[in-house]
Amino acid sequence: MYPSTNHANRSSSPAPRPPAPDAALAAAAQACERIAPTWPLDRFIAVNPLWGHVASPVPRVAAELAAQSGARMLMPRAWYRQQWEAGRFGIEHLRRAARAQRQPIPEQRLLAALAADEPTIVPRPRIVDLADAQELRDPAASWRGFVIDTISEVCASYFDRTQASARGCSDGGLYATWLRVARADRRPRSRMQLARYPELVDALPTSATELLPRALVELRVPQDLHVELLGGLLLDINGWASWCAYLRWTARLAGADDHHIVELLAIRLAWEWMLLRAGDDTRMRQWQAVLAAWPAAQIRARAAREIDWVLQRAIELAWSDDLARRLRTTTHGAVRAHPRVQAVFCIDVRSEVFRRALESVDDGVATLGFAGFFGLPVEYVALGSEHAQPQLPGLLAPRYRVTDVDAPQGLADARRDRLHAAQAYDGVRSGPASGFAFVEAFGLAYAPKLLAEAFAPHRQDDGGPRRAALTGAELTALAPRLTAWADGRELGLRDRIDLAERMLRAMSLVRGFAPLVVLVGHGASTRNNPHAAGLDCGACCGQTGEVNARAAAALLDEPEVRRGLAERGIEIPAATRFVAALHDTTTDDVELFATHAVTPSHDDAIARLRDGLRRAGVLARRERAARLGLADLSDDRLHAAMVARSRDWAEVRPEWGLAGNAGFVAARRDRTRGLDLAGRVFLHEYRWEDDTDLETLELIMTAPMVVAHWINFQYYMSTVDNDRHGSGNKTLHNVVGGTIGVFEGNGGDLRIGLPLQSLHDGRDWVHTPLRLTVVLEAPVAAIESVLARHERVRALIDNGWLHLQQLDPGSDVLRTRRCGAWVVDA
Amino acid sequence: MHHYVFFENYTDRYPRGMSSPSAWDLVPVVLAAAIPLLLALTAVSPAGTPLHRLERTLRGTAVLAVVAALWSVWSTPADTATPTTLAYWIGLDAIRAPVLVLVCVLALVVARYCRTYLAGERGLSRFARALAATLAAVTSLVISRHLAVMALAWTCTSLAFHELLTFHPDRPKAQLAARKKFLLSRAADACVLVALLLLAGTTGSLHVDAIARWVESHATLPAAVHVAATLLTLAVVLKTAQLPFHGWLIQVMEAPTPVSALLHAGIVNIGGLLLLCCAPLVEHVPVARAVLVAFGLPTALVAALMMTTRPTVKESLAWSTVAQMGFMLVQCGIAAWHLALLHLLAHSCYKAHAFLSAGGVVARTRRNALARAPRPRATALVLAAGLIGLATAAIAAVIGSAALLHAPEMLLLLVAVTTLLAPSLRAGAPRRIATGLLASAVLVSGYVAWHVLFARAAHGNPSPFGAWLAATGVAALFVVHTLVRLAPDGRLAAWLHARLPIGSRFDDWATRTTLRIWPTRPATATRTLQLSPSTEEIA
Repeated sequence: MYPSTNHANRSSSPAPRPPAPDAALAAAAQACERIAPTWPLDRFIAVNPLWGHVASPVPRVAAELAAQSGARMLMPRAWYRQQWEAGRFGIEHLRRAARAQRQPIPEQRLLAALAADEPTIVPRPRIVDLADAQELRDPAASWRGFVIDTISEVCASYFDRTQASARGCSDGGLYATWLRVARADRRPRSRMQLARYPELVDALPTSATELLPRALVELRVPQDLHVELLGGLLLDINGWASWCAYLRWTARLAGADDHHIVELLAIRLAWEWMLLRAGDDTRMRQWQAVLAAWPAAQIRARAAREIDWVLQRAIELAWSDDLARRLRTTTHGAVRAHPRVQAVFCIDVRSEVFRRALESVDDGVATLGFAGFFGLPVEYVALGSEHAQPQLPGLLAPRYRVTDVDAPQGLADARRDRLHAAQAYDGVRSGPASGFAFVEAFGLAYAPKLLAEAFAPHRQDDGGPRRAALTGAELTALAPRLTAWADGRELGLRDRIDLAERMLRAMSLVRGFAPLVVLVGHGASTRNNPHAAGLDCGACCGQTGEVNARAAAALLDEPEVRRGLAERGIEIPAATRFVAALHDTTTDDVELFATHAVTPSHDDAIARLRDGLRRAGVLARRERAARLGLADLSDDRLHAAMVARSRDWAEVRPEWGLAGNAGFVAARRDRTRGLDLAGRVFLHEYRWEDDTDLETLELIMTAPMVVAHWINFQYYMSTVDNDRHGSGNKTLHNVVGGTIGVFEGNGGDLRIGLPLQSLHDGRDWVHTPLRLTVVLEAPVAAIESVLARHERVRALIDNGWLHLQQLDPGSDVLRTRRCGAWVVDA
Repeated sequence: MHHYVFFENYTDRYPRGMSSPSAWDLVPVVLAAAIPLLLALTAVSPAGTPLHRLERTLRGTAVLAVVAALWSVWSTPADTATPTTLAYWIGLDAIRAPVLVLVCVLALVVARYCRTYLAGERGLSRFARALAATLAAVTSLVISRHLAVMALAWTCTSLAFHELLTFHPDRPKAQLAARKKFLLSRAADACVLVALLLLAGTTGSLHVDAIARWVESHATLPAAVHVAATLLTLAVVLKTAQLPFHGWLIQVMEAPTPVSALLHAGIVNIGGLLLLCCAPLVEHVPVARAVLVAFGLPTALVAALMMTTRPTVKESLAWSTVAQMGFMLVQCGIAAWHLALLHLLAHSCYKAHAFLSAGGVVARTRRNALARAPRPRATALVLAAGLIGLATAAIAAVIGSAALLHAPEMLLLLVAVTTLLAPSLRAGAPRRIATGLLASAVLVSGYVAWHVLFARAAHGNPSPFGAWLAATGVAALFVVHTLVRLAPDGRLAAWLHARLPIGSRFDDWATRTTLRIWPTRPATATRTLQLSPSTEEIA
């Protein structure tokens, strides 16, 4: 702000060498860009935690991370051995995987490796680690633990907006807040016995931008290692870094920017600096030696797991070969030419099970797959609320607004009153002074509540967040409709027609409309679960798909919109009706909305559909029962058990979510109809012949495919390294700031990713970490033209983040894109 | 010296020696005795202790506890004079019976929760054994009428609970918290041991009734009894997580959630029961009472404020527990025994529920985000307080409040009602005000009803000075917190925030001492091995 003063300060300080602030800040910016965002718990959508690394090949990123922080991107060798012994992959997969390597690995070496354990990779120590080793610290009182805990404490208080009712001063930003707290903190002296601490902390610069260049000079880090060092330090506090990256992500979606992450990095670096200065000459010598050994560490890390990448690829090949075999065996044309009902489901892997079940009980139903926000980039302002909730994929910013129309007079005010009353009650309950009288007045009333929660979970239906402060009847009276642009402007007819057209074209539904088209959103039912939003629709930003499905169905039923669509070549028969539905993925119940609005001529069709959905639910539950350990229950009791499970406050595994996901197929449904894909594949409807300008293919490859990759990689990383990219044990979770995230236990870094209980059943992994295999039914030239235009998507494929296959539109041939060429696997 | 006997309804109705108890009157004693026995058998069962088996046992013990408690209300207390009878050692009365029901019901709920929640965890059998052992110890303590048995059971509770705290052996911070608690508990045990030796030496018995009779019959108590009572209260302070011995409770979320809930089934709060049982003694030892207030009141106030500054849900709940324990000790210290019993029972139910449903905080935050209530305004608060004050005065004038409730209790209620009513006055809409008033009426009736009921069931003899001191403290807390809420970014909030880590600073010495006495890993750190490749590079 005041460059001259800054300059004066700097020239008076006895810095050993003139700092190069711009270069240092650029390195910091580069390191920060590598951190992927993590969404808060109320919109807990999946993200590839290594999204900032996709420009590099996977094995190189793995080696880099292993060297920097010890993070893993592969399962332990023993797991591969176990898979090998269980016959999950064979010698032919191993050979093919080995052949694909730049430098082929001899078969003997692979087999020998399977019999041995992998070498341990030692991450590069930081100065905190040197201090711990030098001072022989107890693990319960290590510098590393202390530094992470104190930074995390400050971050939690700084970012918290709802949990604490009395917040501290946060003037001047994150770094300034930390510095104030750090200067008043006596623990480094008292608990950690660092007598010089006050002097060290007082010497720190007052801003992050001053600290970064100075500390890098003091640490004597060569310029070419700046990004490496800073990136590694961010990984030490990866959870909060990811939270800051989220703030940056949302700021950028809104056209602004956010720099908390740089301040966080400066805080972490400040500790390194202080602990270096606190040490003697030995510490500096050790640190210099550590720095000198850096390049070697990465090479060693790469070599250590080179073979394991072949094993990983072999397992993936075994799975995708199986998928290919199934895709080749489909009997084309199994779909009836004129279905009675078309049901559009979310691409979510959980839909695959239900779609298959529905089609099997009623062959007059044709199902389609489409992103569960139904192409509506909207935010939802619920009745009586002033809060806009995004209902679209995290990659996008909302453009339109959905509100509840046709609500009874006064309901909005009544709801607001109830919401405020609930907060007044919370205020008494958690007020520091009122709490004493509160427990004496109401405490004993919690005894029956405890017993009911424990022994009658099926009666504990709170209706989920959408029903907050409404009765069931009031909720049914609401009609979410697309009403405005996100900025409040009125939404004209033309805009609505544009939107409807884009939606139908993207789901490849432009002709052959059935008399009844159902748009099925999805959501999960679970109680007392901090990660509940993670089980809801990811394409709706961790909400249920109800609002989007209902708004979309209503839009497509508007006569003016239909007329406009007809002018653009999409003729929807007058007899066709659109209906919205919600698939509860925990119980496999499907609720149909506002069917009274459908003309009486459709009553029979609706009744029949309802029956079909009920029977499909029975089948789908049966299929999922085994993995939930409920296989021996009768159909009715199974349903009751699943409902009870969805309302049980102690349930940590209400359903298995998207565990097992491994594939993404964008093709006509006849390519997959009748195939048992075991709930492991995202299915997107795509008819290349209707996509003359390739807009739809481009959309699929840049949005749903990327989102599927995010989900796939969230599950992958949470499985291979739950300590760093998963959120650990649910039974220890401690929610931070109402919705920000969780701590595992009392402190430590903010935990991101999936809890262990979402991936592991206590005996074995339920999720198998496989990189996504994408199958597109489209001409090679079409796919290549999209890839040519989207560098990041191409990087995903070229660098091994996902595997791309082409299903030849005219035949059964499957080609794999490998090193830029399309090859047919024998 | 005038002495009161704690449970006058029992003693008055059935003066000792006048009634001849029938065999039926032994039923509650036998049923109560069966509870720890069954739990102990489950804990040591050679067939292993799966959680579902423990849950089945707990279903049984919960029923036993309820039947025994109800039966005890109508039965004549059995002869307690002869050490050879069961009734000498074990008995249920108006304190032990409800506490026993509380412990058994909470234990059942927690075990049911664990069965689902911990499914798939390693070491569940060890967990279930430790849980059964903890509960066996707690229930033994609750039903026992002999201080030596109570003390032994108290120690066993702590030893068994240690196993639950260290359920995750690979978490150094869990180990540290557990060890901190372990060392504090042993210090408390030492206090208890000395106290019991002194008591036995002076009064000749460690039976609670005998001690009460002894105290009754002595106009002035010898110094040894004063010291003993003070040591007992010190032990309670140590085991009830009072500042500065609170650190382990704040770090207890290093163990699974149900362990935090279980704390309220007689782990952290059972000191209250011990004080209630020793009420006739403690009431006549001013130093002991002063110790309770001196630790309890600052703890209640500071911990309650700490709670409002914590950014995580479980830490906030833990601070709240510390504060409520402090409040309960103050109630004991000022001899409001009936309120201490109410507080012990009511807070346990509420807080166990709060811990078990802590994951729901995300859903609650989402709900609140829909329509965030406006910030309180000073006028609304003053108006609310004024209104309620007037209403109270009016009611008091009509029916005579002195008979109904004591003024300090009214002050505490006033604080709660103001907090409840102010938001609706702030909103201004008649319907909101009506709901606010209705809710306040419910709160007031709940509070008054429980106070009246417990005043009938148990005897209290609150010292007016102590009661006013506590009520004034809470009122001051209310004012401070209100000022902070009115200006969350103001100077008071900032000043307070900068001072409050004092709370954790107290814990620092406990951490340091624990690490010195009992490091989580021997000093020959394996950490150097972890760094070996780099040291090799250095060389």
